[in-house]
Amino acid sequence: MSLNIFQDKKLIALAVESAVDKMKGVLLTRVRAVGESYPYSPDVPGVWVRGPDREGRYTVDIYVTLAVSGTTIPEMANRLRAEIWEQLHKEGIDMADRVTSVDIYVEDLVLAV
Amino acid sequence: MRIFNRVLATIISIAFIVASAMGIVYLIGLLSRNAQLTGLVSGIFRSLTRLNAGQIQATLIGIFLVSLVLLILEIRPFRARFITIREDEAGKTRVFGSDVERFLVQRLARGKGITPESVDVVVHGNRFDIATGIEVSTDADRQAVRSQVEYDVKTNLASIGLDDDLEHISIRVARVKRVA
Repeated sequence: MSLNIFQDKKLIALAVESAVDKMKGVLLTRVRAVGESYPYSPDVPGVWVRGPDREGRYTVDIYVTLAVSGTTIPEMANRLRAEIWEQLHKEGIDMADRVTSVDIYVEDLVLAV
Repeated sequence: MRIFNRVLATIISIAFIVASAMGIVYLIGLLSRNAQLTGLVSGIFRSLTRLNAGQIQATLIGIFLVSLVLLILEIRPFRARFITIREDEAGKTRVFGSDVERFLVQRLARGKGITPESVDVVVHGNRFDIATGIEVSTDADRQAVRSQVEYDVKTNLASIGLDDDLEHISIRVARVKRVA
């Protein structure tokens, strides 16, 4: 278990940001809502890395704007998760094994007419 | 604006209204040389000065406690109204409730005889309460109309992957206007 928790969280948050950037139709919700206690990471706004637990594992909450066209929300969420885990592997660290779940909060839903 | 600001704005507004009313009563009393009216307002202020130290302390403590409760209500974590649409070991997928409401209103309003203004969708967690006002022909079967709306709701929710909790849909067809 790494002692540098802040560094771990930053790496995870940046990997998530890279994964989201690669996804078409997905944007991180970066604007903090006024007057609301909103999950807000100093590293990447819209990405909230929680943990670690006793085994050094993290969970991630991400707040996104999702543009859905010709697919369903769960399908897009699964693709986004797959991209995030792939990005974590690419970082050359064992982060993918240490991130147990990625909760996706669709803050704003844009649907094709 | 959250509850603290709302309550504060309400208290200040009430204080202004009361002060204005007292000012008007006092002014009318002065202009009409009516001692009863001016005495009424003066009496209220005089009664405040008759409070002893203990009563003033109790009043201030009361105001402090109410302010503290309002402050806690203001800064407590905001619980956004999200609907969980998928939950497994990979994580949850949640959607903001008002987005789903907006989506359903838009889609239902495409139906014949339905306008966006006549559709009211309220999502409570994974429960959908849908009330619609529909214009139907004079010989239309109300039950058939209701079934059609229910079918449209399910189809549209399924199209975006929100079809896991469809048994929680309640649909009320209200304000049926029969047209020839």
